[in-house]
Amino acid sequence: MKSSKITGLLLEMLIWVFIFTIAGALILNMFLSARYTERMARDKTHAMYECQSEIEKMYVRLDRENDKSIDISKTPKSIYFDASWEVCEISQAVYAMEVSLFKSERPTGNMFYGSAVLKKLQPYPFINIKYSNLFSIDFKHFVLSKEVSQ
Amino acid sequence: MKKSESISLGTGGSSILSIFILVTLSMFGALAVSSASADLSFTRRAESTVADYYALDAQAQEYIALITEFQKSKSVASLNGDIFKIQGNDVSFELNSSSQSLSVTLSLFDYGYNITKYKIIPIINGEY
Repeated sequence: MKSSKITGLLLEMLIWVFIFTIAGALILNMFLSARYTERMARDKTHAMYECQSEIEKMYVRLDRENDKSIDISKTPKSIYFDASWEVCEISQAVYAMEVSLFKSERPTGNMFYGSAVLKKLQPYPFINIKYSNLFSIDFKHFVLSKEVSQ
Repeated sequence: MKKSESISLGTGGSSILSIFILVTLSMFGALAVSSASADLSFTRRAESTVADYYALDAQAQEYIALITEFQKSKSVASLNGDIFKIQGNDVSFELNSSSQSLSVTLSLFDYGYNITKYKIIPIINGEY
């Protein structure tokens, strides 16, 4: 009588250990996927700000220096960021931004165009989305040539 | 002699407790996933707004280049029409996308221009 009660309890425990293992794995996966989705959202927002900031800085430089001093051959330019979004060396990089710039000559000046792409170097775990491209944007900026404006 | 009575959950009690823990954890898991997805969709909306802005900006830069070409050949007045509005030395145009509109005014002088207005206006579709 007593031994059958113990066997019943053990059987129940065994079933629950099995259910807990399966449910635990699923719930843990849910929490981890939520955490990394959240992190991706935060990274995408940060990537957006970094790209915008870089493009706007480039616009200012293009306007200030005019088209004579812009060296297109130095692009694409890569900027690396660590996990806390500080600019770093490639060896510590978690994110990489690539800014390309091209020039097309117009009768009255130069049209600069290009793109800024920010990528995460390692993909996010536990998320089904397979791309690591956080943000990319194309831009154009016209600079009136000095000869025309003078 | 009176036997002391003890309250015992018995065999089924632990199962009820386990089910309760599992349901609670699943609920929190689902809430975390839905909150993260909402965050991501909000970020994607912000991303598309920024992409829209730069697309409008690129189009505006093309128009500015075009205006300077007409200015060079002294035929800016011929631009007056559906896209460009000319008032004295001012040339203005407006560009629209699904989420915003960009209103630009250039004040032209001999061989150049000043941008006197470069205003972005969000288009609100009653979502807020």
